[in-house]
Amino acid sequence: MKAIYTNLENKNFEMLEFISNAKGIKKNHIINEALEYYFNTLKTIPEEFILKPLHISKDEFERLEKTSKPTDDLKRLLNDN
Amino acid sequence: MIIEKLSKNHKREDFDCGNNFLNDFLKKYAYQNQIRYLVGVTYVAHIENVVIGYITISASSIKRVSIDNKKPYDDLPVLRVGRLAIDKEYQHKSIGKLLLKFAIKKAIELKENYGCIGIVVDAKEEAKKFYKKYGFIEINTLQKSLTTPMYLSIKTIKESLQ
Repeated sequence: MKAIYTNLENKNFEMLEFISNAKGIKKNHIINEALEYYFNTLKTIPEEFILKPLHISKDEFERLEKTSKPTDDLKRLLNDN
Repeated sequence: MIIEKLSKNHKREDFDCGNNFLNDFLKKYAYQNQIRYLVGVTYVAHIENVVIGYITISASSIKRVSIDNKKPYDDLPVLRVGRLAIDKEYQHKSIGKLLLKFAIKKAIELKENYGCIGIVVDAKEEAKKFYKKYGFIEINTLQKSLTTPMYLSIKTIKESLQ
């Protein structure tokens, strides 16, 4: 066994505490199981096939909304029957 | 040509779009993703059940993050196009365009039934020009990715409809 120190997102930490208390399972056991599950998934589906979550800044989102404009090709695509 | 959800009846063994990654995805993982892992649905364009093109879509979200503390505070629902590929024999015959139109219609359905602010595609370098033509713009995300995420808003789609 080896020890690591890491930060968890609040929602993950709360869920970890909840499951640990509710089921009487040690937190390190849950984390080890979760990691094993994750690594097995990576073996089944190669990493390049897994789409990453999209995190963007508020400013970037505003830029996207302002920049997005209809193009002639889009108009033709959506209005051709 | 018919576009419908990938099923066991569709013949995909000989599909070759010229990109091994996209060929492998269709042959080995697309159906598995759909029925076992429930993480995305693949729609195929086929002629007499022989697949000539496909598009994989899923309900996803953009996490809008505050720069100060980097904590997500807003999940914005989008339709995500993970992959789009056309068999070499059928490229440059507007099939990609029809599959994209199909995905745009799905995004409109999603917006009407559950909420959706736009479409995000994960574009390979060589496909960026195709998506730009239809108004997609590159997203500067806070994390690195093998593909370039590009965005088209529902607002823009609505403005394009006459």
